[in-house]
Amino acid sequence: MKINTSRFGGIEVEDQSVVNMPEGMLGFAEFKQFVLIQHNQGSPFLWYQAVDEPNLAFVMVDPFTFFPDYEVLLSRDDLDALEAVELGNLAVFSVVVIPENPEDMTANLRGPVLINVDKKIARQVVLNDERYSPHQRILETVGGAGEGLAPGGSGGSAFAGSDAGTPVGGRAVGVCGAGMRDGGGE
Amino acid sequence: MLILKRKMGEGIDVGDNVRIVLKEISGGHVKIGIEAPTDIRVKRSETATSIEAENLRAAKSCLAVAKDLGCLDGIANVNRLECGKAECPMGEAGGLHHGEGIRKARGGPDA
Repeated sequence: MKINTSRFGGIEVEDQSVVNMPEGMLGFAEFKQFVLIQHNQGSPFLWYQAVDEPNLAFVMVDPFTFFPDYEVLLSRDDLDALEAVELGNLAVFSVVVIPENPEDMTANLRGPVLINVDKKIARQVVLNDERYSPHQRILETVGGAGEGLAPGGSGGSAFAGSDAGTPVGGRAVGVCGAGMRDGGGE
Repeated sequence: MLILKRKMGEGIDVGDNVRIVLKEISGGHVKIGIEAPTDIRVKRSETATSIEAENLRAAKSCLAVAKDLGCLDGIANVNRLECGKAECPMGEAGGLHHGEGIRKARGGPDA
């Protein structure tokens, strides 16, 4: 199918590479289909372009590149919504805000976008984990982490293109247990 | 809105499967325990709002970003290598070299 984008012009994408997001991105519920566009193999950054709105696109990043200890705890409800049978099929991305000075860019670790790579179903999940900020600076952690970018770039498994990469998901994705939930915080 | 008065340790049942218990009160804070099936999403009300706001910021900020994100790769790597400021004006579309930043950086200490 052909989709119109303000950035890339008209682009041809395979139907099966379209990601369905039944609930849309939070605050953008009316747009339910997206494609991932990777600008460079091996880069942790990619575009998440709305199919039906040329102007709507998000920059997303593979959070594990910059935050190797990042953990995403999913509820049963999340798994059902994603039709996830096994966690290994889930890719995790964080939405990036790029301010005027791009060095100040931040990633939303509190509301990651989970994508079922096999079924092309996505959901933006809201984490209750107070360790994670919706606007976590990306770069200061790079210097400190030492091992910054993973060699070979784990990338975000761009299945917009014909050649699918390895899903980034599965790493540090867990499922909430049942029972009492009273968070860790106040 | 239904308003109920509760004492410490007392709870409220919502439907057949959800129980809300008052666990602790101190200062202006109240600790609330929620027992609910895992298929019910439980989250702080303001969290979803803040993520909506963040999405909106992200979508707006991206309007100014060139389509080639090689620039971000460059910046991330430049910072890692502590080579000083990146040279890339994100606001101006075009003029960005595909993946140059990341290759340049990789050729460095990793090589």
